[in-house]
Amino acid sequence: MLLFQLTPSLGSSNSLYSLIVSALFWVPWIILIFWGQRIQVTISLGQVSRSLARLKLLSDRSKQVLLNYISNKGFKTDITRFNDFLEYFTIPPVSMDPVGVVKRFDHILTTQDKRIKNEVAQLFSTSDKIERSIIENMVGIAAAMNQIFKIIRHYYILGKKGNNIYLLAQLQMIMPMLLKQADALVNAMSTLELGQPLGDGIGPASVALLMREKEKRRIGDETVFAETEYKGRRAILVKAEGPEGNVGEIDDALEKIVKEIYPDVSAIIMIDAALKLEGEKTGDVSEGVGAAIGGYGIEKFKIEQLAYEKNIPVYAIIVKESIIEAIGAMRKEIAESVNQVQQTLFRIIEERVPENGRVVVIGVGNTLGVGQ
Amino acid sequence: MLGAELGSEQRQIVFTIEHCDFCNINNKRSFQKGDYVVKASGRCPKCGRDMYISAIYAESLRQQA
Repeated sequence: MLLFQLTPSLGSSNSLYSLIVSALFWVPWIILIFWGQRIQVTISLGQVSRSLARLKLLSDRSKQVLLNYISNKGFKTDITRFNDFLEYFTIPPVSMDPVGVVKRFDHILTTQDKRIKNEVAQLFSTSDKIERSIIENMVGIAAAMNQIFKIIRHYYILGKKGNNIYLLAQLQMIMPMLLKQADALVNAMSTLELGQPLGDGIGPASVALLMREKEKRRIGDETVFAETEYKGRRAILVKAEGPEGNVGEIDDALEKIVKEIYPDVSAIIMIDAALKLEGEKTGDVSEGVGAAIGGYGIEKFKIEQLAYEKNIPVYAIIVKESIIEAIGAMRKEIAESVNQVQQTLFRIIEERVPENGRVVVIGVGNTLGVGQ
Repeated sequence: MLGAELGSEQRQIVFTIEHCDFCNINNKRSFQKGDYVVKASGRCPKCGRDMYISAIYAESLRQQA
């Protein structure tokens, strides 16, 4: 109907005015029919190209921040070897036959971890454990930024070569979120430089405050534990060794505790930061069951397997935060949730652990800026 | 260096909270390099006992205002 109202005079009048009105309507219509997709591709290419340039800037900046940090500390490094190291890759195990894939993946990741630590030790010779862990974390960010940039560039070029509107549209849609996360990742480097706690460190921070003035013992690599008592129950507190930027080997430590040191454990409680859903408040504390631990799933699998074999219930306390808050400096709302975390913890211990019983409490996360 | 380029919402100051268990008071000061949670830090202005760092957190400039 609207179409006929706009062009009523086409057949009845030859006036210049009606021709212009008709042309104004039909010409764009024809252009859009024949070249619409091409125009859309050009617009998408322009937007993705600008985002890609920003991603490249962030990737270069992450390298620059790391190199500045290193040169300010007086370390000398081989730039070519450093650039080669950013290209370091890990091939995940084949999963066609999934039996034993977790053990194989665990072995590969342990090898990767050791290799990265050795490489960092060779590239930046420092005996300071905190400095080394900060550099390891910063190298991790620079390598991640390098990888993100290269993957996005790959799909951008692929979309451009084939004028693939669907590929470009997907890139266009994910770019704003990706840039936000990349921004947060690069900004987190200044937090790392200063050794400040990250949002992800709320689990270790909650446990560290309970560990204070207790005798601490090392259990495995970069992991410590201490004992305390709460209303007639013995609590074994476990966290990664701080204030370095470690996540520890929580799964192996738990296995040692449950199988070798205290076989009478009647509950495991895990405290961790967890991704909030949009609309949820940062710093909100929730309680549930299951192994609260992120990563590739290897630690989670091992903890679940151990709990199943020994018939030990696993409870979880989580602090809600976004991915950007988790990788940045710990925000006030997150830090202030510690009291609520501890109240929830004490309530679970009282309700779920019998008197004279034993419970393992694990603070999961990066313990940078959090001692014990 | 990076902070200078952040938006006003993202610009933040990091604070260290020192706590005295006996008097239950908190002292808020700017973060200094070397601070970490549970580190012994300063004396309580009320009882003179050792305080410890109970929290380190960032506040955005908007929160500050």
